Amino acid sequence: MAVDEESLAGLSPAVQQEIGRFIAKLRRRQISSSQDVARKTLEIMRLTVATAASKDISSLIELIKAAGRAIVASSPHELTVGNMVRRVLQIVREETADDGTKGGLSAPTVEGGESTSAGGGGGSGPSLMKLLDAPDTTDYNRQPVKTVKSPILEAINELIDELSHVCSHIAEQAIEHIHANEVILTHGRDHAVEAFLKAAHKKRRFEVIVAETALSGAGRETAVVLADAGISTTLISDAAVFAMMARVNKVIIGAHAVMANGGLIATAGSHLLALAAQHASVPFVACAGLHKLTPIFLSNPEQFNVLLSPQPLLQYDEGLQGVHAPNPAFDLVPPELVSLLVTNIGGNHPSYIYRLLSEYYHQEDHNLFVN
Amino acid sequence: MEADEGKLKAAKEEEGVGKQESRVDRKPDEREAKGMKAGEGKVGEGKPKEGKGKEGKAKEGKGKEGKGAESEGGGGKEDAAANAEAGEPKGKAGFPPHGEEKKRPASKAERRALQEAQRAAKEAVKAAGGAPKGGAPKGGEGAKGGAGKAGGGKAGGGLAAGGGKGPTPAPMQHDDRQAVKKLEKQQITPRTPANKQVPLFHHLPQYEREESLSVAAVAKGNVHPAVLRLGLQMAEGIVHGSNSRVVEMLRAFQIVVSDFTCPPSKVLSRELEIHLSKQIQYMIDCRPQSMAMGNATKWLKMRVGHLPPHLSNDRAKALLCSQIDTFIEERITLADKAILSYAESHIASSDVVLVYGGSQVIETLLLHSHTLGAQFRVVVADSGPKFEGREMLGRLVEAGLRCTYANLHALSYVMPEVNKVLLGASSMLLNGNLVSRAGTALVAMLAHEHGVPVLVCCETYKFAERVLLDSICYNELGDPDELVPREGDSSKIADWRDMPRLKLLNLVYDVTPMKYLTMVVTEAGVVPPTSVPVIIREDAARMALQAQEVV
Repeated sequence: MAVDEESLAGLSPAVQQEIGRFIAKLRRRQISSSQDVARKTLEIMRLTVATAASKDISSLIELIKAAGRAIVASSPHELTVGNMVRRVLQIVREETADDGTKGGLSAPTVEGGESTSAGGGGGSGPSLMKLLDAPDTTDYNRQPVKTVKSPILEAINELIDELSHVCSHIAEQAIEHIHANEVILTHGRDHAVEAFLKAAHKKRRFEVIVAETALSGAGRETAVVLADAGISTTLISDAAVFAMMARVNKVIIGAHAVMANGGLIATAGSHLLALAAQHASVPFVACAGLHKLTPIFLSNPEQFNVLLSPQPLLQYDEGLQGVHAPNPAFDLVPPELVSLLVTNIGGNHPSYIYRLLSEYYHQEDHNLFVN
Repeated sequence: MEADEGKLKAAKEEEGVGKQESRVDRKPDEREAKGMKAGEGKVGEGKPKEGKGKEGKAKEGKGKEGKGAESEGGGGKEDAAANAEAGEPKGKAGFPPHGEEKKRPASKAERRALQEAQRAAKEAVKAAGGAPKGGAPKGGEGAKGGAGKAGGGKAGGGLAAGGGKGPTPAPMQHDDRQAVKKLEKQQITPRTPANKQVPLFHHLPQYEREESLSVAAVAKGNVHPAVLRLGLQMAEGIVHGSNSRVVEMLRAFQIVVSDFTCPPSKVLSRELEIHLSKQIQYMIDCRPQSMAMGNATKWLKMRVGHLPPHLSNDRAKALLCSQIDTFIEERITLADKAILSYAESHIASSDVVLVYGGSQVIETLLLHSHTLGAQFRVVVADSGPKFEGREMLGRLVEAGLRCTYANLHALSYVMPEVNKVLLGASSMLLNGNLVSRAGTALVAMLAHEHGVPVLVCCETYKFAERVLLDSICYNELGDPDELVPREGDSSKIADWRDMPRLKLLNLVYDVTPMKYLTMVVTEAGVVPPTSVPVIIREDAARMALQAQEVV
């Protein structure tokens, strides 16, 4: 457990132990579903807040950030971890602000009536309504932790609860997007997409084509699951994607993360799929829960990629000396190739993502590694 | 038998008619000429010089064309002008036809006269009793008469079975019940239809894997052992690759030809053709023909049909065998050498070249460039289920090339460092699209997206006189069980036959749109994909000319 001891100094031993275990699991890839990663992160955050001995809010925020940093640094490609930490920080900030309003300290009165957007917390981001008002002046140093602790814990619990409904909320929208006799192309394995297709199948008859998704072969599992659910499914090789695109009405895939510009980090091969869809003018739809919303702009496509073992491609004993065999886990799909993002709060165009960011995350938390 | 001879006679008579028919075929030229009128002045200036150079040849053409005109009885000034015009393209069968056809736009009167002559010719054809759907040899001769005279002006007849003006007949459609019934009768080895067919591909053959492909064929006794063996090898994928399939097939047919004994008092070319079509049918039963194989068999059938009747059987067979040798030598072996010499100039030191799958031409090219001392890196892109690139990768690494091996999913990851893409081809089409192994379109598309030039290496014999828009109308369905991994898979995919809703589809080819291709390296030179139809047309004309010269 190579957790940086110093960074965790302020955390209770129980939290430190949990973090250590979680990091080890992430490294061994024992947790793969991003939903599980999100839930586990939230549980650690809950424990951190519950056991926090800090007196004022700013030190609590620092504590949460430190815990988050430790996990993020250990597996930077699991962007969900960072997202969940940011969500918790936002909760802390919101609760503090609310508490401050109640206490009549400094919050402007306009703020209460303004937060009507879907996320509920419009307090932190830039907003037209607030443009002319006084800046957010909540003083975290003067706020005691004691009074806000229980509302924060409650809010975290709500968030965990929300997580378990992500798939069903995404699936609810399926009938809006899939009409009768459509041919849907998908690849990889994603629970949200599976739920989405199954939900549509309850109302409509349509066909699904699944690309087998080398090298993991995740597409084969999806094909079996969908066929078991009664959807007529055709499994094709990855190479046949372009050929079949002529008959496809929609491409629906899951995403590993949704970036700040609306681009996706998704299973390797998604970029080719998106380009082929663009060639055939087929809508390219991504299903992703809000926990995948990442406030980071990607400057370098390799920034969050992971190179996996080439073992499935080239056997070690084949004796091919000096051959470089990259096996990337992810592809970056630029936002212009994405037609629609279906999140658990509704469908959005990738160009709107920036607005969601300001609703769910505080600007100061976008980079966890800056104090 | 008598009937056959009668047909042959009719075919001979038709030869004359075919010459008249050349007029019918020349229509497109006229249109072109008409269209070019606007630019006439300019072209006209450059004309005399070229015209002189070609005069001798043009005369020759004129003479031949003259015959046709005489039989028609039209005569007169206008006809002579038309003849001169018709003769000209013939003189430059080996040159790009466009430039010079512009030169002599026919006047209105001339065109009208010509149209009338064509109409008369058509009627003459009908009177001669030449059924429009004549057999291969007959049609071939008709085409020969036509294309030979019209030179580059005709794309249709040279390779096509029907000598008429119509398009190449559509290939077998397997969702057509009548056609399937007919096919089942012809099949040497009966095939069982797949029990889980993909509805989208009902028009293509979908068969189950047979216990044995040879038993029925052996029982029938009319398939040559060499063909029997090759058929099985192709079905199993032991003989694979576009070129080697064609070469092996032609070699097998060579053995068939030399072993063939014509029954006494029968015409060799007739009997041989019937015998050969059974061999071809067996090969198709084993694995659907590629377009290149289709071209080669068409060519062979034409050759058989054109065997000079005055030769003794043995000499005719020897001639055919040597013709097959020449075909392999000229169209494949030497063509590959020419492609090599053209393409190697495009590989420079410090290049990163991406290749997809294992193509024989490309492999030779890479190894050759390496021996010439170019320091370049190769990215071998590959994909399941066959992973054809792996063998090539082994050989490249052995030769000391620096290689990266990337599966299709890693393509977006490696493409930024690539600065050239080399592709092999199964076929190039009349509309400039490329038919190649599945996945090629993805590679070309991504290269196009990154602004990387895409070079296709393709011998001209693979150019097919067809057009395809998508990969669904024409394709080959491989064995679906290839998609089931042999080991180490946790999903229940191996039991797919027991899942009523699950189907597996293993496409073999895909069609790459022309816009993703930068250039095509052929033995005729390095051309843009838009020039493919020009080469096809030239080829058809040349082929028809050759056929005529033999007789």
